[in-house]
Amino acid sequence: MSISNYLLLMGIIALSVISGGYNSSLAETKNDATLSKGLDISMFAKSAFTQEPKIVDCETAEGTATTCYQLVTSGSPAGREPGPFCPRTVTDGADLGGAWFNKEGAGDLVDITGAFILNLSSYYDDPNWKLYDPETNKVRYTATLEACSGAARPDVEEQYKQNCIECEMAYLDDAFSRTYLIPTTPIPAARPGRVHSAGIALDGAELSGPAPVNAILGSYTIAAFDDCGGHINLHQGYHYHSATGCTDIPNSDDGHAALIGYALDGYGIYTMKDAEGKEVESLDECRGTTDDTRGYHYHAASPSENMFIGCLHGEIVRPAGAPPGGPPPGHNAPAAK
Amino acid sequence: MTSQPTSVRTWLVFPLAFSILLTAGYCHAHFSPLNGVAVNACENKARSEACQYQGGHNDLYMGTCQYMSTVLMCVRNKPIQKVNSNKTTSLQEHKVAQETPAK
Repeated sequence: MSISNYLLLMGIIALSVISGGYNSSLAETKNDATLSKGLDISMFAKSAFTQEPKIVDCETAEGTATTCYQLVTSGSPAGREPGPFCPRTVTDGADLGGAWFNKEGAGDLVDITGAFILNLSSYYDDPNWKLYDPETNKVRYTATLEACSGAARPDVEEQYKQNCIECEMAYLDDAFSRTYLIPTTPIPAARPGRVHSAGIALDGAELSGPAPVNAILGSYTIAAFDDCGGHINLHQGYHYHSATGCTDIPNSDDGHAALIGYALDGYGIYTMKDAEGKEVESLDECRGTTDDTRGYHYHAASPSENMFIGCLHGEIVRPAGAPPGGPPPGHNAPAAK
Repeated sequence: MTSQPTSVRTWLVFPLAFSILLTAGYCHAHFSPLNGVAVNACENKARSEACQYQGGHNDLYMGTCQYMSTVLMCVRNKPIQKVNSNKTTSLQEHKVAQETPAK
């Protein structure tokens, strides 16, 4: 072998080694990126945001300096008008009313029909329920901004007890908006965080923390959802308490459950069941799990369980003025309906 | 002489009060829709401790206690199970069993 051939051979070997090393390194980087991949802006509805999402510097509640997506919404779900919520008479059918938690606390929501309103006493085994006028058969509901303001809160004003509660987007201030800061790359937390607000749905509406059901029912009110499992209050705008399929986007061909939104820590939240209708067996305490395609992600609970996820696996950015782990009073789960 | 009426009153009042308490307790326990049972399942438990509660239709929910805002409640992290004659099966298994014709 001549010297020139020897040098050529060594050069090829060197290039192969460098190339192989580079490819290997690239593959590892890609794999890491996949496993830690967070929020994908392209998954959101086109009109989910009122401002172009941007990446900003931010700091998590645990003090980690990082970058976040800054997402600004109008507080309404993209592409549809919320409602209907409360039926108007006790003869109205399911098409004229919304939905509410099943009293069993699991499974699908129940339709708020006129008959449902009529039979609340037997449904909750409490004779004190009376959300309708027996003389006119009209359903009592919160028909004004003042009524919405006095009723869509945990401490329902006395005059609005025995009402089906609903609010309109028109009641919100003209300047109403919601801003979410979500880490661009999820950061696993040292210990799971409490859920005050779960995250943001793909239509831009909030995936809220649990509704204060005992306060709601204890005031003889129904904080009616629409068929998508969401309702409106003056602090949060339209927000979901239940995953009913309205924001699902099947985003993989492996039969995995569909994406419904992202948690505040940046991890994806998927439907409870996969394409075959099966539920994941091995969820952690936050209702999360890990696979090679999605990395760590959550699966929402059933529509009537009054929660999406059990806790936050990753670090979140605390909104200004918020208590540890969540938004300020009036914006968090107990204060919101 | 004065102690006798007191004793009689005690014997009369105590069972009455006890029965009222029992009734109130029953009503309170009975009126626990939705998350009430999930919250009760974590009474005297710590965060992350295992919990379970039974819903309607013999459904059994198993998970761990987690704080939802300020309230500790049982967060299910296993498929809903069926409680059936001291035998627990998952709902998915139960459905498959129901759909599979007997041979």
